[in-house]
Amino acid sequence: MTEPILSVKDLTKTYGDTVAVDDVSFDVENGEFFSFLGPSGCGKTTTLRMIAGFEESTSGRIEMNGEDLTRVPPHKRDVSMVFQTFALFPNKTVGENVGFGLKMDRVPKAERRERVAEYLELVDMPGFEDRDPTSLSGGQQQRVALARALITEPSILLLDEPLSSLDLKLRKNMRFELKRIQDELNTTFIYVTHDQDEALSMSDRILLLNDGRQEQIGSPQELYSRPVSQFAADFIGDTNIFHGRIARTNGNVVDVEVDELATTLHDVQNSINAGEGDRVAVSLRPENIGLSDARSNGEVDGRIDAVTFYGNSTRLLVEVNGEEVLVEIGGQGGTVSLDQNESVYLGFDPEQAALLEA
Amino acid sequence: MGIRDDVRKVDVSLQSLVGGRSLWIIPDVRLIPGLAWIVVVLGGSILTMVLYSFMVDPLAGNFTVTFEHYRRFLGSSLYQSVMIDSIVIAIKTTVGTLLVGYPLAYYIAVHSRRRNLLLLVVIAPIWINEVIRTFAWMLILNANGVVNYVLMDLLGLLGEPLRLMNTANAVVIGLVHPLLPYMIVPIVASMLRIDFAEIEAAKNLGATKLQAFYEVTLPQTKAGIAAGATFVFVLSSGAYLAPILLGGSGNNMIANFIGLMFSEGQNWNFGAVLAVVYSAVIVALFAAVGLLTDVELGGATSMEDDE
Repeated sequence: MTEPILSVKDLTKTYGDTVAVDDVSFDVENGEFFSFLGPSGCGKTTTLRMIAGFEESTSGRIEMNGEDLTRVPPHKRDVSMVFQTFALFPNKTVGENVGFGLKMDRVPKAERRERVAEYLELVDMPGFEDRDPTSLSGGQQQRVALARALITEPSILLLDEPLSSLDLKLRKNMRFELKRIQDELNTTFIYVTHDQDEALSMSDRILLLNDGRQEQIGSPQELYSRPVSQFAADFIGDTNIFHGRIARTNGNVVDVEVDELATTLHDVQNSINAGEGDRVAVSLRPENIGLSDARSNGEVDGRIDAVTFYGNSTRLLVEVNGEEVLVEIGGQGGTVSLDQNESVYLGFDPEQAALLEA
Repeated sequence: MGIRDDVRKVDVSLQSLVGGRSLWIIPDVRLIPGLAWIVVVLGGSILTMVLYSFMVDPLAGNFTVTFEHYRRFLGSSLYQSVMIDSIVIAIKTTVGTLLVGYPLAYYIAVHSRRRNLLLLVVIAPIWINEVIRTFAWMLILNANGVVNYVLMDLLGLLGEPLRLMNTANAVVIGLVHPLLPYMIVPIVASMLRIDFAEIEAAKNLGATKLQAFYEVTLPQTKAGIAAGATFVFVLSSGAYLAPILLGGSGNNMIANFIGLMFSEGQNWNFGAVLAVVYSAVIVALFAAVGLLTDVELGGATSMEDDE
């Protein structure tokens, strides 16, 4: 593998007694769409601001193309940032906003004008040069902010929750736009969000942060299907977390007796090296739980508590031994007729279960 | 129910909020107290002034027109040079408050937690009686005052005292101090409307601290500076007490001469001429500055900026 474009090692940031970022390390590859994901206050924005140079790290290193950034002031770093509030200059026109980075680089006016037109074209806003940015809609301001950040051709583009102030529909459109622009320019994107849908749908890799610590780094698929902690399983997507005990170990698979379901899951991947008799947790995604109206081997019986129709799927809350289990089935409805209080049988796919520390 | 009905309903509800009853030529009865004050008190006194400048004694019923006093003013270089000196002092005071006040305003604007306390400290000098405050400056600037004590006796930098008192600069110093809040408050107000992420964005795009200030912060505080400068210039150009106490006999400003004409001088007509001419000069200056710089004076309070 080639040398990473950005390498963060043991990065820590404290404010007095508060630890905002706690010993975080990761590499970002050239051309990657890399996301920091986590609840608010998890340290994702602070980490981004340290990369931009707006905050000083308490300890640890940030290297870009192998060069230490610690002593490099913000205006000399080869990164651009898109701010949550867009931070367009209200005293300048759209064209002056977009061309600002070039002006600072002393690019002659004529060339500047050409490049501004080119980047306004890129974000699908041609001819907006003379408009007042404060008169634009949120989505348009977002595009101007993007063009302004990209025009200096930075090695890395930092995006701090750029879609959070847009409405839902626009947010979904902008996701495709961002991906399209990233593909077109092949720039490395580092994207901060608390929205798991955004992170899952756009990222090549995700760094999951919780309370300043890194929980997991991996592709969206890895984070979704192989969470390493209860926090990771719970934060990304919806899941059922059950508790239980290892009944038997066999090579790299184990049998787990699940308390809530009063059943045993056989041959679950032992990703946490649990030993026989250990207490563990098991995460089972709603779509990995099967539903039938006749009992077969290993199934447990339950009663439908609530049915919610989502168009492309249906979600059920099924009561099993007094516990609610979330089940999702595809649009066709399967073999069971879905009525409240109906009895159903639940089947579990142990291959899809994720074993977690209790 | 169509859209039109809704529109009318909105209009009606806004009408109930905005429009009061109109009366004769007054569009809204709620304007009456303010209008009365402006027309009777302010307009009346200005009118009296203007009438006295070219009539013998209008309040006593003598409306004989005479331009003798205007001729006297035009023929005398003393009063013209006093006016120029007064304007120079006002300009120096305005520049002084800007140079001292702008960095202070910046500090206050960015330190959100201590902002109220700092503003209180800045405004405090206004609470102190003008005479006491000005006497305090005499103690500081005197030949054997605080400044000279520090420079000569404590530091030994000077052999003989600096002559600070009874100079035009003493007047400027005595005016900058109490007028600072008039400069600082509008600038702070204009700074608080800036999203500080804009300054970070500028740095992120390659601007040094100074460039970020010049490109982003300064242009957005122009309206605040204009408002502050207007306040300070107007207030200092009519200063009365500071020139008497700190400027000595050689640095009287125009307000002192106008006062003299109305008291010991007993020449209301000439006092009125000085007042009218000086007011006209100040208004002309503002008009010229407004035309040349395209800055809306007092713009911090304009409706457009508030949106």
